[in-house]
Amino acid sequence: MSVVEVQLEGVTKRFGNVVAVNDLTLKIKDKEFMVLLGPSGCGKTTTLRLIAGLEKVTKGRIFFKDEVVDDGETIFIPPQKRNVSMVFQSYALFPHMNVFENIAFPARIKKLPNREVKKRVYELADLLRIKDLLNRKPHELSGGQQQRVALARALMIEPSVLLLDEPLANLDAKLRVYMRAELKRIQKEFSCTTVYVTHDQIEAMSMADRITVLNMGKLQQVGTPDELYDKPSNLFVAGFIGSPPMNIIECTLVGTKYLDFGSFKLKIPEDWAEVLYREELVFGIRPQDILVSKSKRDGAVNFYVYVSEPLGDRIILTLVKDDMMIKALADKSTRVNMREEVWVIFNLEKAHIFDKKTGKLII
Amino acid sequence: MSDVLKKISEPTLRVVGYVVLVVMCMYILTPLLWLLLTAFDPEGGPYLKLPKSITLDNFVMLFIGKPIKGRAGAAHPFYMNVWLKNSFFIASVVLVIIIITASMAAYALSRLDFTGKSLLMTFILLIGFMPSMAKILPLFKLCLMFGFIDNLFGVAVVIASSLLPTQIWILKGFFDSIPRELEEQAWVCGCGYLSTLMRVVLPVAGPGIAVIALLSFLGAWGSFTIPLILIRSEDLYPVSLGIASVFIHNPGEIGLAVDYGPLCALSIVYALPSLAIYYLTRKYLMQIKVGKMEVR
Amino acid sequence: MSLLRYLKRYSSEIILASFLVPALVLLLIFQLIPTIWTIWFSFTDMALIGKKLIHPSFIGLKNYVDMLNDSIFWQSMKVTFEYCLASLVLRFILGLLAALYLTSKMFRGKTILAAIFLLPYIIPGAIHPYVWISMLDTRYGTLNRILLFFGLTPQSWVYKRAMESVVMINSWAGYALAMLILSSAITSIPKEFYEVADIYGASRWQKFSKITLPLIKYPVILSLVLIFKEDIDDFTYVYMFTEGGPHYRTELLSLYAYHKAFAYFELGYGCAVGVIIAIIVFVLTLAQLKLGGV
Ligand SMILES: Nc1ncnc2c1ncn2[C@@H]1O[C@H](COP(=O)(O)OP(=O)(O)OP(=O)(O)O)[C@@H](O)[C@H]1O
Ligand SMILES: [Mg+2]
Repeated sequence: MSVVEVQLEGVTKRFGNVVAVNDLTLKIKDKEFMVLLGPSGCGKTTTLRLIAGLEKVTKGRIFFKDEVVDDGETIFIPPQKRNVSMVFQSYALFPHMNVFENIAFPARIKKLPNREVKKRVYELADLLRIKDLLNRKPHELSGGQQQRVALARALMIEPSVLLLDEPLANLDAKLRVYMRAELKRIQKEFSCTTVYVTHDQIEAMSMADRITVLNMGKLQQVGTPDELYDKPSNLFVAGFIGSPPMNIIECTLVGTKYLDFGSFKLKIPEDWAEVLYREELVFGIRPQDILVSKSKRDGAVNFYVYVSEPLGDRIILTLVKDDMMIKALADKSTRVNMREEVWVIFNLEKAHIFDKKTGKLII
Repeated sequence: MSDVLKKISEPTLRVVGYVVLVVMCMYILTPLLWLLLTAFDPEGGPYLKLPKSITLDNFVMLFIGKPIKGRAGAAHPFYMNVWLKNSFFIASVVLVIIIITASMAAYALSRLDFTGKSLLMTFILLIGFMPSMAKILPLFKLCLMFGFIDNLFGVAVVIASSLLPTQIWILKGFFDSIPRELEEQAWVCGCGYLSTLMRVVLPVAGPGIAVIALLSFLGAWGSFTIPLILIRSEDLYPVSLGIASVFIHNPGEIGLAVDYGPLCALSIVYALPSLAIYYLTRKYLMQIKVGKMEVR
Repeated sequence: MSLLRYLKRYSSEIILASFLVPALVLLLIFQLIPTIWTIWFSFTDMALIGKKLIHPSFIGLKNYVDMLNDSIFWQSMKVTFEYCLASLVLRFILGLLAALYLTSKMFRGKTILAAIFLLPYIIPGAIHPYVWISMLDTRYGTLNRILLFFGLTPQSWVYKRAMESVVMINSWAGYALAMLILSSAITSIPKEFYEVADIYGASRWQKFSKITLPLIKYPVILSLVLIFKEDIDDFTYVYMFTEGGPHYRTELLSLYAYHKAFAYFELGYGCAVGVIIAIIVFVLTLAQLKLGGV
């Protein structure tokens, strides 16, 4: 298969007054599994449809490798000629065809010889474990089966780009976990450039080579799952990635040594002081990086237990102090009662500082 | 009203419902019962009575074209075979034209977004609102220009154009109810617009096609005014004109001097194809999607 | 040049738009042009015979002014109003009733019922008048025999009760249109709505008036529009039964236009009456569509 990278250059898409995608510049590498992640209505589907050619850009350009497929003015390659495959959020299986014909559909359009089509449909059905379903009509399938049929159809001809729009959204939790792994394996096997849309950050983290985070049509950050987790470039990404989400606490810098949280102060590492150019800051720390103990320790701050939610192996603790509320992950063995006083140590090496005004990451 | 209805218990309501139903069915069926009985009656008249004996003469007479010996029969010759053939030709051409043009137009109207779309829809609905009788002369002159006088194909084209607006509206409702993703999926797979229409949209809109097929067949099969204007020569008469040529002597006097036996036989033969088409499409009739006219 | 490239970018939309062309061409040539032509004729003194057929002269609004002083015109206006209103109400109510029978859970035998209800609609219109002779005949007609059976006075349907007869035939022949549209609409209402209503103990009437009616508002309006259009346009039954009589009591506007044009050869005047009908239909249809918020 030929090398295909997809490149978006300053792409804007408007629907009347709604700006669905706002000045998006993005490069999806060849064979990459790229995940588009963001809250509902942030423009993920629109981006995908722009790549597929189902929408025309208002401004900006889209490239497939070196070829411009849409430049917002004169050039527009229609979806029929882009050689992409797409799995819609609703699967869009043709209700009048059985599973076999649904899967074979793209090959039929390309007029491939019947023998070849049959062989390939059986291969795919085998791979996706839907061999027994080939004679059924779509309305006789469960959600998960429909999803696999849609996927098989998308893989029927080797597409330049595979576009998947929340394909797992309608599945039950168990099937979703199974399909997550399966999809990732299949993508590697077929090694085609893939754009995968989801609003589920766990899905994104577990499957992606790289993740693009969108919010309100604007690009927030692009990077590998680790980069996004460890170095979220702004408050939005920080709050969106990770579960339970990162604690975001406003604070001010006092002199060069302390962060003032109102009810308590924290001493900061020396090397921080050099980069902190502002007094109004936001302190971010993941629940995993908060150490909770029942006994008083050096440098620890006292909080009170508000709620504790056991997860099985760990416990999410919601802690309060005055009007501040944080979440912490504690060991299962940490037995605490409501309103009990606990002592908290922040692992400052893993903590982040953001500029309160711009929301940008400083440390 | 609501209080009254509330007090009526379910069984009472059911009884009232059945009584009304029986009255309604009588209203619908009594005239037709006459039609059925008289067709097989050797001496039928314009009144409901049980035939003393049953005969097929009336039907035979239709097809051999002249009165049977020894029977007081129709004074006029019948050309039932010719009429039926002409009616079939007209109806099938209309069917083809309407299915093709209406489905293409309705598809475009359903899928395109442009300013003035609702205006266009209203325009299409209203375009035929000039009474056809007032349009006789212009239509005649126009058809003279196209060579559509005494031309069954031409008659079919004109009939199709008069049936088109309603069919477009009905079909658009069906198309609106088909998710767009289905077509977008087909495009992504490499289907052109026409082949998407043929391979995906039309099969999925099957019920809609069946409905407009029935409606336009009924419209064309029964059409009277347009053939009346456009057809001069008797061997091109469809059944509707044929009936009129045999049985109407003067307008306003249809009750007089009519040969009821053959008339009823003819009516039954005339109605059979419509019934057949109804039988084929009956499953889909209750699925008409008038949709919302909400056209953004 | 840039226009060409612009066109190329929107080629898919253009292809789709071109799907409209065949239908629009048909409609323009065989519907719009005759309509406009008719409007033009209505401003002339065109006659069906003599040299005025070939060389009509423009006489401005004279036909319309004449109409104002034409008592028969006003008479047929009144007749048309009665006929259309009566037909509209009957056709709609019968259609709604039939639709309710076909969709209600209370009654059985839907398939047969549907076939029976549809019979008049399926049977070609040219047969309808003959079929009704047997009902309306004064001496032997079924209707009068039924009246006699119940000890009521028989009527001279075709002559004395001409309007009632024609409305009766028309509603018989045409209620199925509303039935088809309304029953389709009612079937498409999700069952859950009624189940929710049942949970809250809604009565039958409440369910009908609070759920069914609002949800089929648009189909109701559409069927009213289509019924009205058919009624005002079509004069087959009066033409065959009464020829407008007696004393113009069934002279519908459309029949009057026909008479003027083809019996009195005043084609221009006939066209003017046709234009008036078209304007009435146009205005009322738009009003109905607007009222329905469509
Ligand atoms: N055809 C359209 N017309 C008008 N507005 C639209 C259209 N399609 C999308 N939008 C708007 O554009 C914005 C982005 O929509 P989009 O479907 O891309 O969101 P999304 O990220 O896929 O959301 P979700 O996760 O809910 O699917 C939304 O505000 C939506 O209302
Ligand atoms: Mg979406």
